[in-house]
Amino acid sequence: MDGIVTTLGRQATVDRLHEVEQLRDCSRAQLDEVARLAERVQVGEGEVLAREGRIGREFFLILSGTVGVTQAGRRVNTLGPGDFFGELAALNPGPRNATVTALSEVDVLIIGPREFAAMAGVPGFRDALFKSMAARLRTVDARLAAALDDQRSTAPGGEPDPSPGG
Amino acid sequence: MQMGVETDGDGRAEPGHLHGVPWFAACTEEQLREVARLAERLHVQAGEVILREGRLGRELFVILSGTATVTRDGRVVNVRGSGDYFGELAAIEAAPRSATVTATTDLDVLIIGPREFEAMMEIPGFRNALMKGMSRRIREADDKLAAYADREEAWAPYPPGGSETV
Repeated sequence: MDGIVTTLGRQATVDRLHEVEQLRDCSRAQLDEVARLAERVQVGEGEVLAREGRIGREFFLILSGTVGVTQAGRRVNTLGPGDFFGELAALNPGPRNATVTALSEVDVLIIGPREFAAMAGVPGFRDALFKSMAARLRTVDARLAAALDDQRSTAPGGEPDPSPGG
Repeated sequence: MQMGVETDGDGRAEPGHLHGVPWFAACTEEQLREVARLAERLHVQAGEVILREGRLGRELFVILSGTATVTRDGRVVNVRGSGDYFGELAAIEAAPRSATVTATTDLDVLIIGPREFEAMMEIPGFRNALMKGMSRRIREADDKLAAYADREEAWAPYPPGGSETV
């Protein structure tokens, strides 16, 4: 009986994954693979999914609901259906550097680090993951450059710009 | 490519060139042969601009020997040497180059085009190393940004739909 319940649960999860924008390039078989690797959990409003400073290796993919992301108590982002988080901790062990709290009832897939490596091999998901990480890297790089500019303009005697390369 | 590059020999990469590149350490011999088949080897002279900020380009580069300087807005942001790579963001998604890279010394590089990059993403050792490298860079940039935590503008909301650093 347990097996049947699990199968039905996975089928429902695949149906739900099929509606996720970020996974639209995944085939049915690939989505089934994702569902097989993941655990599906429902959490209530106010529950903390990841806490800044704590060790955690799980990766999360939101199926429905919204979560708030805070760093040092500041809200830095809100994520909704199809958004994912935790890939950095799944890839490189280290403390979480943000807290993620459910802002509503949240339906979420939780994927352990080993399963995450397998999931990253699913082509449809792989592309969404890499594009998201590339975008994130561009954002933090640009923000870092802006912060340095800011520091330079406010700190007298900052070193002059090196001449442009090439 | 928009640079004057000289091919060294027939420009073909051999698996032997890839030993000692940490990025490929997790690849099997067979996978290394596949990487070598997909990559081209080029010699770049000191002073040449390999890629320029703001320009389009999809190639990924791996330095086999020599050093290159990475600049943004004319400011040196990084120095890359043997075994390091650059250009991966544009290889992942078509977007203008986020930095200029100039050969500081004569360089021996592997160049991997977008189509070949797609094929390389099927190699788990390569894909995992790329993911971990990107994840580490995001964490490092985030850590540096945390140093500016008292500056409000450093914490502007992340773009929606992106991944989060947790």
